[in-house]
Amino acid sequence: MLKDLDPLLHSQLRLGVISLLMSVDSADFTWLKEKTNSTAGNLSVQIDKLSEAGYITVEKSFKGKKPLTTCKITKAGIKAFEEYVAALKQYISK
Amino acid sequence: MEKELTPQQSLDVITSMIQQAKGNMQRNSFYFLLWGWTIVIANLGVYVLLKFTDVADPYLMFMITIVAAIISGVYGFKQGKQATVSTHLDSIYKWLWIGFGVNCFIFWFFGVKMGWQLSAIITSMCAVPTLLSGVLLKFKPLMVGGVVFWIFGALIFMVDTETQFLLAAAAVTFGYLVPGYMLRKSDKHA
Repeated sequence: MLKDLDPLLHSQLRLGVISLLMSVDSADFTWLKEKTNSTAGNLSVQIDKLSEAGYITVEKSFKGKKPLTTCKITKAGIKAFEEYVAALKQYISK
Repeated sequence: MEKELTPQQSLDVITSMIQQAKGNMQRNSFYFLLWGWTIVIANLGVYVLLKFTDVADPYLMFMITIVAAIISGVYGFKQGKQATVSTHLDSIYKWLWIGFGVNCFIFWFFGVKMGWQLSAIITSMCAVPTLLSGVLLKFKPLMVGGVVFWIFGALIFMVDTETQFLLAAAAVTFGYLVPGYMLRKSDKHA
Protein backbone atom coordinates (compact mmCIF):
# COMPACT_ATOMS: atom_id res chain seq x y z
CA MET A 1 0.00 0.00 0.00
CA LEU A 2 0.98 3.61 -0.60
CA LYS A 3 3.88 2.54 -2.79
CA ASP A 4 3.73 5.63 -5.02
CA LEU A 5 4.52 7.90 -2.12
CA ASP A 6 8.11 9.11 -1.94
CA PRO A 7 9.57 7.06 0.94
CA LEU A 8 11.86 9.92 1.86
CA LEU A 9 8.91 12.14 2.61
CA HIS A 10 6.63 9.41 3.89
CA SER A 11 7.84 9.68 7.44
CA GLN A 12 6.27 11.83 10.11
CA LEU A 13 9.33 13.85 10.99
CA ARG A 14 10.79 14.30 7.50
CA LEU A 15 7.38 15.29 6.14
CA GLY A 16 7.03 17.71 9.04
CA VAL A 17 10.39 19.34 8.32
CA ILE A 18 9.67 19.66 4.59
CA SER A 19 6.20 21.12 5.26
CA LEU A 20 7.71 23.71 7.59
CA LEU A 21 10.44 24.62 5.12
CA MET A 22 7.83 24.97 2.36
CA SER A 23 6.27 27.80 4.35
CA VAL A 24 9.40 29.80 5.25
CA ASP A 25 12.56 31.00 3.50
CA SER A 26 14.91 29.48 6.03
CA ALA A 27 14.77 28.07 9.52
CA ASP A 28 17.32 27.03 12.09
CA PHE A 29 17.63 23.66 13.78
CA THR A 30 16.23 24.81 17.13
CA TRP A 31 13.13 26.26 15.52
CA LEU A 32 12.50 23.07 13.55
CA LYS A 33 13.02 20.99 16.69
CA GLU A 34 10.53 23.11 18.60
CA LYS A 35 7.87 23.06 15.87
CA THR A 36 8.14 19.34 15.13
CA ASN A 37 8.37 18.50 18.79
CA SER A 38 11.23 16.10 18.12
CA THR A 39 14.50 15.18 19.81
CA ALA A 40 17.75 16.72 18.60
CA GLY A 41 19.22 13.32 17.75
CA ASN A 42 16.31 12.12 15.65
CA LEU A 43 15.88 15.47 13.90
CA SER A 44 19.56 15.62 13.06
CA VAL A 45 19.41 12.16 11.42
CA GLN A 46 16.31 13.06 9.38
CA ILE A 47 17.79 16.39 8.28
CA ASP A 48 20.89 14.57 7.05
CA LYS A 49 18.71 12.19 5.01
CA LEU A 50 16.80 15.09 3.42
CA SER A 51 20.03 16.91 2.74
CA GLU A 52 21.67 13.85 1.16
CA ALA A 53 18.64 13.49 -1.13
CA GLY A 54 19.14 17.11 -2.19
CA TYR A 55 15.73 18.14 -0.84
CA ILE A 56 17.17 20.72 1.53
CA THR A 57 20.41 22.61 2.00
CA VAL A 58 22.06 22.80 5.39
CA GLU A 59 24.38 25.62 6.28
CA LYS A 60 26.42 25.55 9.45
CA SER A 61 27.64 28.76 11.03
CA PHE A 62 28.02 30.31 14.46
CA LYS A 63 25.78 32.58 16.51
CA GLY A 64 28.28 33.95 18.99
CA LYS A 65 29.91 30.76 20.21
CA LYS A 66 26.90 28.52 19.62
CA PRO A 67 26.70 26.55 16.38
CA LEU A 68 23.83 27.55 14.13
CA THR A 69 22.36 25.17 11.56
CA THR A 70 20.19 26.86 8.96
CA CYS A 71 18.01 24.77 6.66
CA LYS A 72 16.41 25.77 3.36
CA ILE A 73 14.29 23.78 0.95
CA THR A 74 15.71 23.29 -2.57
CA LYS A 75 13.87 23.25 -5.91
CA ALA A 76 14.12 19.44 -5.89
CA GLY A 77 12.60 19.45 -2.41
CA ILE A 78 9.68 21.62 -3.50
CA LYS A 79 9.07 19.36 -6.50
CA ALA A 80 9.20 16.22 -4.32
CA PHE A 81 6.78 17.76 -1.86
CA GLU A 82 4.35 18.74 -4.61
CA GLU A 83 4.49 15.26 -6.11
CA TYR A 84 3.98 13.75 -2.69
CA VAL A 85 0.87 15.89 -2.14
CA ALA A 86 -0.44 15.01 -5.63
CA ALA A 87 0.02 11.29 -4.90
CA LEU A 88 -1.65 11.75 -1.54
CA LYS A 89 -4.66 13.34 -3.23
CA GLN A 90 -5.08 10.25 -5.40
CA TYR A 91 -5.13 7.96 -2.39
CA ILE A 92 -7.65 10.10 -0.64
CA SER A 93 -9.98 10.38 -3.62
CA LYS A 94 -9.93 6.58 -4.12
CA MET B 1 10.83 2.83 15.09
CA GLU B 2 8.98 4.73 12.40
CA LYS B 3 5.41 3.70 11.83
CA GLU B 4 3.69 3.73 8.46
CA LEU B 5 1.62 6.86 7.94
CA THR B 6 -1.88 6.69 6.50
CA PRO B 7 -2.74 9.33 3.87
CA GLN B 8 -4.91 11.05 6.44
CA GLN B 9 -2.04 11.18 8.94
CA SER B 10 0.24 12.57 6.23
CA LEU B 11 -2.25 15.31 5.49
CA ASP B 12 -2.56 16.05 9.20
CA VAL B 13 1.22 16.45 9.50
CA ILE B 14 1.32 18.83 6.53
CA THR B 15 -1.60 20.94 7.74
CA SER B 16 -0.39 21.18 11.30
CA MET B 17 3.16 22.14 10.22
CA ILE B 18 1.92 24.82 7.83
CA GLN B 19 -0.24 26.10 10.67
CA GLN B 20 2.85 26.18 12.92
CA ALA B 21 4.86 28.17 10.39
CA LYS B 22 2.07 30.68 9.82
CA GLY B 23 2.13 34.12 11.33
CA ASN B 24 5.82 33.97 12.04
CA MET B 25 6.53 37.40 10.65
CA GLN B 26 8.94 39.20 12.91
CA ARG B 27 7.27 42.20 14.52
CA ASN B 28 9.61 44.86 15.59
CA SER B 29 8.89 48.38 16.75
CA PHE B 30 12.59 49.28 17.04
CA TYR B 31 12.96 50.89 13.59
CA PHE B 32 9.77 52.90 13.86
CA LEU B 33 10.88 54.36 17.18
CA LEU B 34 14.48 54.95 16.10
CA TRP B 35 13.52 56.66 12.83
CA GLY B 36 10.49 58.35 14.35
CA TRP B 37 12.59 60.13 16.96
CA THR B 38 15.45 60.83 14.55
CA ILE B 39 13.21 62.53 11.99
CA VAL B 40 11.18 64.40 14.62
CA ILE B 41 14.36 65.77 16.25
CA ALA B 42 15.89 66.68 12.86
CA ASN B 43 12.74 68.52 11.69
CA LEU B 44 12.11 70.32 14.97
CA GLY B 45 15.81 71.22 15.10
CA VAL B 46 15.72 72.79 11.64
CA TYR B 47 12.50 74.62 12.51
CA VAL B 48 13.95 76.09 15.71
CA LEU B 49 17.24 77.05 14.00
CA LEU B 50 15.42 78.71 11.09
CA LYS B 51 13.00 80.57 13.29
CA PHE B 52 15.20 81.71 16.14
CA THR B 53 18.81 81.76 14.95
CA ASP B 54 20.99 82.87 12.05
CA VAL B 55 22.79 79.56 11.69
CA ALA B 56 24.20 79.33 8.16
CA ASP B 57 23.05 75.83 7.35
CA PRO B 58 20.34 74.54 9.70
CA TYR B 59 19.68 71.63 7.31
CA LEU B 60 22.83 69.97 8.63
CA MET B 61 20.51 68.74 11.41
CA PHE B 62 19.54 66.03 8.94
CA MET B 63 23.01 64.59 9.25
CA ILE B 64 21.70 62.74 12.32
CA THR B 65 19.87 60.46 9.89
CA ILE B 66 23.29 59.07 8.93
CA VAL B 67 23.78 58.00 12.55
CA ALA B 68 20.32 56.38 12.53
CA ALA B 69 21.15 54.60 9.28
CA ILE B 70 24.32 53.15 10.81
CA ILE B 71 22.44 52.05 13.96
CA SER B 72 19.76 50.45 11.74
CA GLY B 73 22.35 48.59 9.73
CA VAL B 74 24.18 47.23 12.78
CA TYR B 75 20.91 46.30 14.52
CA GLY B 76 19.53 44.63 11.38
CA PHE B 77 22.71 42.63 10.92
CA LYS B 78 22.62 41.40 14.53
CA GLN B 79 18.92 40.57 14.33
CA GLY B 80 19.43 38.70 11.09
CA LYS B 81 22.03 36.54 12.76
CA GLN B 82 19.72 35.78 15.65
CA ALA B 83 16.50 35.14 13.75
CA THR B 84 15.58 31.48 14.00
CA VAL B 85 13.28 31.60 11.04
CA SER B 86 12.89 33.91 8.11
CA THR B 87 9.84 34.03 5.86
CA HIS B 88 9.33 35.47 2.41
CA LEU B 89 7.27 38.24 3.99
CA ASP B 90 10.24 39.19 6.18
CA SER B 91 12.32 39.69 3.02
CA ILE B 92 9.59 41.78 1.38
CA TYR B 93 9.33 43.89 4.51
CA LYS B 94 13.07 44.43 4.70
CA TRP B 95 13.52 45.37 1.03
CA LEU B 96 10.49 47.63 1.07
CA TRP B 97 12.21 49.83 3.65
CA ILE B 98 15.68 49.57 2.16
CA GLY B 99 14.17 50.60 -1.19
CA PHE B 100 12.48 53.56 0.44
CA GLY B 101 15.77 54.54 2.10
CA VAL B 102 17.60 54.46 -1.24
CA ASN B 103 14.88 56.65 -2.79
CA CYS B 104 15.21 59.17 0.04
CA PHE B 105 18.95 59.33 -0.50
CA ILE B 106 18.57 59.93 -4.27
CA PHE B 107 15.98 62.66 -3.71
CA TRP B 108 18.14 64.26 -1.05
CA PHE B 109 21.17 64.21 -3.35
CA PHE B 110 19.26 65.83 -6.22
CA GLY B 111 17.13 67.99 -3.93
CA VAL B 112 18.12 71.18 -5.73
CA LYS B 113 16.55 69.91 -8.96
CA MET B 114 13.24 69.44 -7.18
CA GLY B 115 13.20 72.90 -5.66
CA TRP B 116 13.98 71.35 -2.26
CA GLN B 117 10.41 70.14 -1.81
CA LEU B 118 11.99 67.22 0.01
CA SER B 119 9.77 67.20 3.10
CA ALA B 120 6.61 67.01 1.02
CA ILE B 121 7.96 64.38 -1.37
CA ILE B 122 9.52 62.14 1.27
CA THR B 123 6.51 62.43 3.55
CA SER B 124 4.08 61.39 0.78
CA MET B 125 6.42 58.65 -0.37
CA CYS B 126 6.70 57.32 3.17
CA ALA B 127 3.00 56.47 3.05
CA VAL B 128 3.61 53.41 0.87
CA PRO B 129 6.08 51.41 3.02
CA THR B 130 4.22 52.42 6.19
CA LEU B 131 0.84 51.34 4.84
CA LEU B 132 2.28 48.09 3.47
CA SER B 133 4.06 47.38 6.76
CA GLY B 134 0.65 47.63 8.40
CA VAL B 135 -0.74 45.18 5.86
CA LEU B 136 2.19 42.75 6.24
CA LEU B 137 2.16 42.87 10.04
CA LYS B 138 -1.66 42.90 10.10
CA PHE B 139 -1.45 45.97 12.27
CA LYS B 140 -4.07 48.64 11.61
CA PRO B 141 -2.42 51.63 13.37
CA LEU B 142 0.44 51.46 10.84
CA MET B 143 -2.03 51.41 7.96
CA VAL B 144 -3.60 54.53 9.42
CA GLY B 145 -0.06 55.92 9.79
CA GLY B 146 0.41 55.44 6.04
CA VAL B 147 -2.72 57.46 5.30
CA VAL B 148 -1.50 60.14 7.74
CA PHE B 149 1.68 60.49 5.63
CA TRP B 150 -0.37 61.07 2.47
CA ILE B 151 -2.44 63.76 4.14
CA PHE B 152 0.59 65.53 5.62
CA GLY B 153 2.51 65.13 2.35
CA ALA B 154 -0.19 67.09 0.55
CA LEU B 155 -0.41 69.68 3.34
CA ILE B 156 3.37 70.25 3.35
CA PHE B 157 3.25 71.22 -0.35
CA MET B 158 0.88 74.03 0.60
CA VAL B 159 2.80 75.78 3.42
CA ASP B 160 5.93 77.93 3.72
CA THR B 161 9.40 76.43 4.27
CA GLU B 162 9.53 76.92 8.04
CA THR B 163 6.12 75.37 8.65
CA GLN B 164 7.06 72.44 6.40
CA PHE B 165 9.50 71.21 9.05
CA LEU B 166 6.90 71.54 11.78
CA LEU B 167 4.35 69.56 9.75
CA ALA B 168 6.94 66.93 8.82
CA ALA B 169 7.67 66.43 12.52
CA ALA B 170 3.93 66.07 13.19
CA ALA B 171 3.55 63.60 10.31
CA VAL B 172 6.31 61.38 11.71
CA THR B 173 4.85 61.62 15.22
CA PHE B 174 1.47 60.32 14.06
CA GLY B 175 2.75 58.10 11.25
CA TYR B 176 5.67 56.36 13.01
CA LEU B 177 5.90 57.11 16.71
CA VAL B 178 2.28 56.57 17.75
CA PRO B 179 1.89 53.29 15.78
CA GLY B 180 5.45 52.31 16.83
CA TYR B 181 4.64 52.60 20.53
CA MET B 182 1.33 50.80 19.96
CA LEU B 183 3.20 47.99 18.21
CA ARG B 184 5.64 47.75 21.08
CA LYS B 185 2.80 47.62 23.58
CA SER B 186 0.88 44.97 21.62
CA ASP B 187 4.02 42.81 21.39
CA LYS B 188 4.59 42.96 25.11
CA HIS B 189 1.09 41.64 25.67
CA ALA B 190 1.38 38.96 23.02
